[in-house]
Amino acid sequence: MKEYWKNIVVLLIALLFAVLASIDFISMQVQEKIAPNQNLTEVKMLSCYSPGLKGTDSDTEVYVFDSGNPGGTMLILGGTHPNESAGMVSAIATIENLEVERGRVFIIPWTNKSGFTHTSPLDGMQDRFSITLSDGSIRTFRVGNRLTNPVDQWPDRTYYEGTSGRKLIGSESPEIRNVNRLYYGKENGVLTERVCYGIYNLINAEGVDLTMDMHEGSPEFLYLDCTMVNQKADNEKAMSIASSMALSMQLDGLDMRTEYSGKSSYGLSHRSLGDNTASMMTLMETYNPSMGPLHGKMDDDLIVNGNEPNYYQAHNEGYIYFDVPENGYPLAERVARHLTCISYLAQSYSEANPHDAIVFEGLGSYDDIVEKGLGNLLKPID
Amino acid sequence: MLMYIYLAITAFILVLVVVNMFRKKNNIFYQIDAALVMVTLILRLILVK
Repeated sequence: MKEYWKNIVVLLIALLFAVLASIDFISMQVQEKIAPNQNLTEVKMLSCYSPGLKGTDSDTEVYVFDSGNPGGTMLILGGTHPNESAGMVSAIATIENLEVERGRVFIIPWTNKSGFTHTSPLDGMQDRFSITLSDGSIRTFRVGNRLTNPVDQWPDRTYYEGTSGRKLIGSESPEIRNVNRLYYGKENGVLTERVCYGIYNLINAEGVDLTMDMHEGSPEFLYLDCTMVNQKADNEKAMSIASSMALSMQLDGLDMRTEYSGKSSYGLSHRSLGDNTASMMTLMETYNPSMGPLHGKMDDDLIVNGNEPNYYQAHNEGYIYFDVPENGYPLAERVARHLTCISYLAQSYSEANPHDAIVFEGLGSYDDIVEKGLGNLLKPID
Repeated sequence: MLMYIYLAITAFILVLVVVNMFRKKNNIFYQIDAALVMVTLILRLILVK
């Protein structure tokens, strides 16, 4: 036995590292707390709409705000892609500040909940970022991966064509873990499809009239700072409402445009849910410098302040179409764009459907949010 | 079913790595290499990563 003491020591050190790494990875399963809002009516689980999610890491909270007054129903999705931080933070900020006066609002902050439990391997990703609140307390949020954790769904099939009609072949095969490729989902499909089915079933069961799916993209992406809108063959109203939203925002000095869903965007929320439900589907994108391949060191400055000189230089040299600000594009401004877009969208919808209006307060104007910052928008956790 | 096959293969490779590590008891660098491989295999085996 004595001759193996070195081996035993190395074995014990390996086990120690495995335990430490496990603690770090498992801590990613602890989700962010949400400050209480007295206007919140109910918290459901998505498994109420997709029983196949019950007991899985993808079963996620659905926050319900019911005014008790007749009106329309709106669904807000954040965290479809967990590494697109503005979507989740906007959804959480909405839950903590919303006051609904007419109709109902459903909010899902962690749409792909499993995706929040891991990061992209070999990408130098940071797993969390922090925001200091006005009272000095600090709130920490996870930066996950855009795909479902392979621990929860594996293997990635090399070829796939499900209810979405989208083919996932070769290098695209990991996208079978992408919530925004598998809509409208399948009740007994792979885990990610069951999430999509839950959203689809929620929209049908609750009679959702209007849906906003909040995303971010890397600066090289062309569809930034715009809202994608589904165009149904039998429903041209969606674009007229979204255009009215964009026009109102432009008149108030906020740059916004709308575009139709791509013809081949099968499986994406704005396309597939729009085609297969009665809801008016929209998807919003903002620019996130931490997502692109040109970003430097991943830290809070990059995620929260959106400060990446490489993109500013790339823009100045004509490689990036998006107007990259010299001092970065802070998370507060990206969240402000999402929240403002939600408010304007509901307002435009209500003007077109006065008997089915969705009226709420509490989110504030774009300037208010930017001026006060996330430290005042997010509430302290006891 | 595929998951169980995957876990069985992972456990089998882990055992081989440990056995080999004990065989090369005088080569510390070999043992460190084996330890690095073992950490990832253990994390996969217990479905943490």
